[in-house]
Amino acid sequence: MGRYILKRLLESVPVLAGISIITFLVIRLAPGDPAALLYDMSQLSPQQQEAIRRAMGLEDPLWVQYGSLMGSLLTGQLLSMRLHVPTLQLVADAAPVTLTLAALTLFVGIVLGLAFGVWSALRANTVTDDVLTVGTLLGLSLPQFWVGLMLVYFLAETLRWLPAAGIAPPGQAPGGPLEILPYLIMPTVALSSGIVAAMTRYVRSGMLETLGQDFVRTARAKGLSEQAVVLGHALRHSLITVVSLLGVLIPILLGGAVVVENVFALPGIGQLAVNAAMGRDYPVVMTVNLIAAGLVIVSNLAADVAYGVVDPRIRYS
Amino acid sequence: MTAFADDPQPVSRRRFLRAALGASSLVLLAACGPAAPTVAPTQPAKPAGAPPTSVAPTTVPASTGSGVAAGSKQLVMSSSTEPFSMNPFSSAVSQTIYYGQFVFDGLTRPDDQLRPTPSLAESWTIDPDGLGYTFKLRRGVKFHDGSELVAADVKKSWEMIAHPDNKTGAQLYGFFSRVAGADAYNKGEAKEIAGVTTPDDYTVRVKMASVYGPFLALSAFQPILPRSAYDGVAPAEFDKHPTARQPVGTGPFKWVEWKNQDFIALEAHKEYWGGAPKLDRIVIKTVPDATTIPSLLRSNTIQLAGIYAGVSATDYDEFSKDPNFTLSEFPGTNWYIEFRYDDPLFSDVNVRRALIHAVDREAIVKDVLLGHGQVNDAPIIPASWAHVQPKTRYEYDTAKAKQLLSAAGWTPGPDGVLAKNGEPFKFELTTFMLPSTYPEIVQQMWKQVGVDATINRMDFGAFWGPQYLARKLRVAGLHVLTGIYTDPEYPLGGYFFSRLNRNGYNNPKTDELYFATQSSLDETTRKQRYADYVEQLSQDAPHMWVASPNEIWARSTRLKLPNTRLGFLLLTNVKDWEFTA
Repeated sequence: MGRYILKRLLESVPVLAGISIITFLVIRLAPGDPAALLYDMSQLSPQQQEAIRRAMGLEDPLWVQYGSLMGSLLTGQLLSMRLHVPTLQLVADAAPVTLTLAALTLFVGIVLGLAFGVWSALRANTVTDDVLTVGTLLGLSLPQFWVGLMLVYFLAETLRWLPAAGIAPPGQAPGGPLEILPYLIMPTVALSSGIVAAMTRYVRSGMLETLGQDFVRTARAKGLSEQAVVLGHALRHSLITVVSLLGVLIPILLGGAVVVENVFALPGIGQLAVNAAMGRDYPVVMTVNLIAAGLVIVSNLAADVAYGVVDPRIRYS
Repeated sequence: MTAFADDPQPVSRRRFLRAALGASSLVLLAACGPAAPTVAPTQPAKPAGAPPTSVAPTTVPASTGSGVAAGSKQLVMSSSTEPFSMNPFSSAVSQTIYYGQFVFDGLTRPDDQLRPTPSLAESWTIDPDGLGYTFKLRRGVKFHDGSELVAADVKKSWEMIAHPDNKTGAQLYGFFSRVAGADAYNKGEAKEIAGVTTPDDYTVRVKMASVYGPFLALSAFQPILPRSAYDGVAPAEFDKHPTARQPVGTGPFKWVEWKNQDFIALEAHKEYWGGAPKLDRIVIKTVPDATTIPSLLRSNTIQLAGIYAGVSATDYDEFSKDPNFTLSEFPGTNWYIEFRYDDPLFSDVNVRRALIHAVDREAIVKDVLLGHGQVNDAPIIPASWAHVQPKTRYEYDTAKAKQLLSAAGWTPGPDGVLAKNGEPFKFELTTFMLPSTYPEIVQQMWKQVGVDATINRMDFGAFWGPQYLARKLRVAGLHVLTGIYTDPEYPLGGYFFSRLNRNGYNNPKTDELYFATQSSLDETTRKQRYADYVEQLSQDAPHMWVASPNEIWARSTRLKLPNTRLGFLLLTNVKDWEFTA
């Protein structure tokens, strides 16, 4: 197992290098001029504009630019073109918000998804099941930003139960976990609505399939309580579905964070990525992309390892 | 099928699942942890283990809204964007200018019609030939770092703008290029600007190489920073230096904290020379999604929305009926469409005029802006002393448009699209993601007279540098900011002057009139010259003014703001903002 993990991690090095090249080519081939977005060039002659671009290193050959960008990144010296602070610091500042939101969303998504899925399967083809099916359909179809805006309208603007934006009162540093929690309730609901729904559907169909199998009948036949049959035998068998879904959830979570952080004005990675892309802040785009790619690689590896533990038929050697 | 329940090693999996559950809750806690390293400095420290009553949902509005604002005279306002650099010598983008009004002062400041009035200079005299200024500085003015303003700070600040290594300051340098000796300094041939001298600590003498009308309003308005802050800072590295994130000036507010993508916190500069500001603290919260601004206002998360995004015209009526809110409207930008002047399709002035006649611009004001704006046929803000409308204006008249097009040789083809020598009248209108449908409306109106325009919307980054500034566009839809500059000169040079503009408009007569607007210090003379300039521009019609949308600032009625004619002037008067009971 250890060798397998090591091998996978070593394999990820060329993958990340490839991603860095693709990222660089995409951001440099996309039309845009960071200098023109940073400085008011409307009053400058073409020569003056070029002098600014040269000072920013944008007139160097592409391979020189790629080399210096990656060199600075690997030594932690890479600066944001717009904000002139190290990109790793920007990511480190923004990461806690996004990671907290992602962790809460995963937690809510798994707990509610399992609960609704099992419930739905046990009550298959009853009114409860129908209600849950309609609910999951809504969860899957409603866009996250719309869910977010509706939550803000009802819970923050009308009822004033929850703060409308940010992770702390404006102008203050975030407080402890309990103080942050109210700020993250609506973003978590918005971000997890689709995940809960997807998880519910997967668990429901997995459970339905499992409940009809021989070993479940055997478990019932040997006199186990219904609870033990469902939770101890059938659900565990269905967990493989959950694990496989977890592997693809990280990119979905990061993508959703872009939308949800925008609506709730959360200073997280999603916002950082959007602002960097719109402002053609190449160093920040590269840093965020590589870190996101790394997260995806690690989460896929974790899912693959978890398969082997959840499902003994799967062995890595 | 294998019987899972009979697997001989169920313990290891059970252990794994338990461990996984434990680990995931640890991750959850750990993720919560780093986001909360400190207690906010303004909050009273809470004893550990105290019941977390302040986070109970029902009391949240008190902690996010009215409680804070009423008690500590803290204002929270929104902005949809943050600055990149607060070094006012190297950056002239609107963010630096807007945010700079809180922390910086110049020698002069604009009055309500954008005339220069005393600021750090308490008075000045102008030599009879118009080529020399003597500024008397206010005494006892304190920078935020505690040092006192002297004449050398003024000279150093201006030299920082003109420094040969300060490439990005090139456009601010235009304000000083007419000072005697500035050119030699800017080229690196002199150690200082010879034309700026400091006979004593409170006198600045400026000698000009030629008369420059906007000097007092524009050049002397540029921020003055303490020279000590820039000793040993290489001008090529201005934006990378810590001072770019921690600006120090003499302004009414001190820059306290800048948390990227989150907020900027400012605190009152109690020793402000103009009297202590009435607010204690201003937090400018970054709100990326403008559609959430109404919710943030109503939940009292913010008490003022105005810079970059106030409330939209569609939300105007609802807010204006609400006694808790007060709205103010100001013109700020002017939407316009540039035609490529040297393109065969648009080289005939009658064609350009016809394209303007074909568009019902008043209808755009009424239907797109819902009346919150006006048609302004000049690149000069209505608040300015220099504002004037040209005599030649192109009213909505499709018959006239068709007649002008037909006189230019364009006749309707079989599909209704005009054609000339077998070529249809077709072009692409390229624009960026303006939050508006006006390009589509213009497109429909052009269609009525047989002109076939397609619309290409790009994101601003793709549009601005590679397409627009690179002069690649035939027809460009954009806006010119007119509301943040203290002299009408500012936007004119870059957008319409033949050597710098992007659509190839080139009429020596217009250029001559443009220079004439600068070469007098007399307001009446300058105003007449602006009228002549604007008239010539209108006759040549190198572009179509579409509409000038109003900025709509919304604020809690408890917040009292001075009466001004521009949103920008609210910022220059920030020391007078106050909360009423």
